[in-house]
Amino acid sequence: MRKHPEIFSDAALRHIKTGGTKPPGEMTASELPPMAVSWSSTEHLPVGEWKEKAPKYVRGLSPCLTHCPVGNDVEGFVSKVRDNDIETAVKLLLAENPLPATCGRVCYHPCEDGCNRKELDGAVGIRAIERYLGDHPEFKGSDIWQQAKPSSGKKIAVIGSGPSGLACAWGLALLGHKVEVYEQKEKAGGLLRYGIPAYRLPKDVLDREIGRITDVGVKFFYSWKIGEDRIIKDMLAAFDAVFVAAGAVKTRQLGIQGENNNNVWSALDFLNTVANGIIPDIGARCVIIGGGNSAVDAARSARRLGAESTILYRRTCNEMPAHQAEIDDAIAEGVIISELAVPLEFILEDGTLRGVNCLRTRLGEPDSSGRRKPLPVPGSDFAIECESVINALGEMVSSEDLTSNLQLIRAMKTADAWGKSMHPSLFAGGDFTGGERTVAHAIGGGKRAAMAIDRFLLGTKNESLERYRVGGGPASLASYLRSGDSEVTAGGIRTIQFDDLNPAYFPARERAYLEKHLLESRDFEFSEVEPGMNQAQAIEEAERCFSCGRCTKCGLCQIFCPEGAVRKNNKNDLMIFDSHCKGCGICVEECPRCAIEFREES
Amino acid sequence: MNEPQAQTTELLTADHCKTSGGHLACQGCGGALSLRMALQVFGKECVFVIPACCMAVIDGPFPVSSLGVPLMHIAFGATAPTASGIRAGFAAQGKDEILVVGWAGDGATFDIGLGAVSAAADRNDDILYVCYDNEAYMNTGVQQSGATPRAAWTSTSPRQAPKYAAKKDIISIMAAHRIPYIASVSPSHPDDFVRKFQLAKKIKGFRFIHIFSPCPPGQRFEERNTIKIARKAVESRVFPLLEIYNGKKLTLQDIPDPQGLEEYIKLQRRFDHFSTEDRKQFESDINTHWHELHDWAIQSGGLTGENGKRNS
Repeated sequence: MRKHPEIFSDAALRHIKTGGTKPPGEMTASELPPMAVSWSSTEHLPVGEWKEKAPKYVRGLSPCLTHCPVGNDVEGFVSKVRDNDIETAVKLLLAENPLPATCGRVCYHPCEDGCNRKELDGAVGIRAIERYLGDHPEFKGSDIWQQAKPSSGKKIAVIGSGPSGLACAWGLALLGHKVEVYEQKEKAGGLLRYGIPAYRLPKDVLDREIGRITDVGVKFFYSWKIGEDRIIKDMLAAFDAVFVAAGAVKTRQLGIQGENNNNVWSALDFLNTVANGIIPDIGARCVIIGGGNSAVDAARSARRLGAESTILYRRTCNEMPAHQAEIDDAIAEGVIISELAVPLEFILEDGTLRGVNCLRTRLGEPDSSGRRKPLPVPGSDFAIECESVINALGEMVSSEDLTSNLQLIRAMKTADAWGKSMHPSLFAGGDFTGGERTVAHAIGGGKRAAMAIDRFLLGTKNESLERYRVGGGPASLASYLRSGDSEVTAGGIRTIQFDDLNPAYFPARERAYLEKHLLESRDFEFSEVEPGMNQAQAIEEAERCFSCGRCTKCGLCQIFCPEGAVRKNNKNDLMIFDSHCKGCGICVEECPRCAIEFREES
Repeated sequence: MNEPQAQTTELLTADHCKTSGGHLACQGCGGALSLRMALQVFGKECVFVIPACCMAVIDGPFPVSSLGVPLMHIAFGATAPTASGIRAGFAAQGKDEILVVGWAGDGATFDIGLGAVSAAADRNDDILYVCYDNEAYMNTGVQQSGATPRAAWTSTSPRQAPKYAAKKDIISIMAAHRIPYIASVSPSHPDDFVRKFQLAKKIKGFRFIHIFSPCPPGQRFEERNTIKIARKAVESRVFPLLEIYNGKKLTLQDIPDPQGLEEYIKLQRRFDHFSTEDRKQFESDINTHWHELHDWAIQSGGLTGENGKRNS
């Protein structure tokens, strides 16, 4: 014992040492001088009965999930990248989408339009992260194959190898079926290969994606035409089911004089020719008619062939259906946009195209599409000189090729959201059946058809497929594969808005910016415009994700609970100990991502 | 602000010194939360002295206790001397490693116990004195204390007879004693909270920690907003987060762009009656205090960023 002269006299210390009693530290309760001492804990007090409302951990949907037409588990793969678990991220992505490297380049990212972070400092660069994962060289189709179902012995034909056909083939293969894909052209990819220019989607990237699909056993047959080699009836007899995704490959007619001139191209023919590596002779000046994505693709391709390209559009840039970023890039690359103009007739001299006579328009009242209707301005004629014209008015299904095949026309017209037609074993999807014509929508449609076909072949037909929709929107193949509800497809799940989140825990952080490689001179230059991310950049961008509506076990609810009522169970999941929780709601208020909800006590 | 650092979360959610639930604090109590967080930092090797205050009710009536460590209830003004006595007793037994904590409210620190706190600080007794400040005598029915801000409602300073003085500057009073360590913390900033308590645990001599402790029934706000109000108090400069070494060197967490004062006032019904005049006076009190501290910080120690890193 150490001496403490200020407080204890020597006599006092001697008393403690030798007074016949133990030192105070070793005394038991009964040996202490009389005083009130509490020996038991408050643990058994039922203070939880005070509460009127109880917090509950509830999964919410982040808007990126419901906005993705494919049905990608966006929040899932982004948060795995954030945790540097690239392998799981790739698997989550591939389970829903066989073409991540493609979507990571050409998708118009509705997910980013829905991202709650845009309210703070710009949406998370989801597309760039998807591209990083899609480009990751280490993962093959067989990696995801191992999670898939055993063989069913059923055989399905897919007509058309565009995004919808590929997605359907992939989905069916994962579900254990044998798939044969029939393609009109010499290579697979459809619009991805023959419509989208290489500066947006390099062909070797597409080859890698298709390689992943052949990895899982899908067989491809090329140079096959509907109605030539085998007619649909034979096919329906030979296969357990047939999925038609023949695309929309016919360009709308302009309906003006001189349209059949050799130097008047349709946009798809032009892009197709360029994609085949043939340099078409379009002269020094090219006029592109239309305002959609294929118009912009054609204009930028024409620039790359060395021509001066002018887009003729009947409304203004603001009404153009093409994606804004594409329009901006086109302008930066020197494409001229002549707004408020319609072509009247082509100027021909001895059969040679010399230019286009045009008329100015003005914008009138909004039409049924909500856009203001262009009205011709009388007497405003003007001429544009050019050596070639590209018609990019838009694409439609080539019904001439189908006239001999009533089955197909009926399938095209009667296909529902799941691709089911009047004929029980004939399914259809993609641009072929209409709806929104984007790569992502086509993939989504193909995937839904794969699920519907599987259900037709094996399942209980009465059971609705609607339960596999994420928040009532896109369908999830992963939860169908598990043949059960997942958290995100459960009914009544709410979508989290920015106001539901607690922005106090999300300091501002700039979105990653990658310098584009835009065309600078008039060189033949089809190298890729947009750069990809490296792993560090992808992780950094993924760290900006809020993970709206999903508990990331950040621990704030546990830290801030005054009662210590938030605990981890032996599975390491957070739970609320009901008999101590007084229902103050601090955890509900503080949760950064709205993963806890306050519910009235029943 | 970021989510807390991994080691902070680990420490604050660890099971090693689980305080028992079932304590008797009101819903959303900032004091009970601070006590729980502090105990996570202290561990089992500590002894508490608690005077008459909310915490004397919260920790449980006889024969129960929620703290999980030895605790002595004592008369209102006697926290500091009792803690000093216990410390001396342990010293006499050679038990230097045991931390003695005096844990008192603003009433027992700013007003009733101030003389005793001053004496213990003057002797530089080796104790950690913690004042959880909810800006009134909440336990007995919200009576005005020295910590009550000017013109804020309490049951003894209603609208008709408001408090005329600004909140007492307890930090400067304690700094005048030149004690080794003074810090102010808010439960809304766990990284800062843990770092300062860990430091205070290590330092020898009289240490003083001032906790901003929102009180839903007394300050009259919705229980769920406790942390939000604490955070707004820091972000709007109402409650500056600082450290003072030996009464001289002050480091202040800089708030270059104060925000949320409007919401801080609006969330609490004790400010409901504020006229534009009251509002201006309140803001002016805050600014005066802030600028005194800010000047002091620039002269002596410096300003720091959010994680205690020095600003260049």
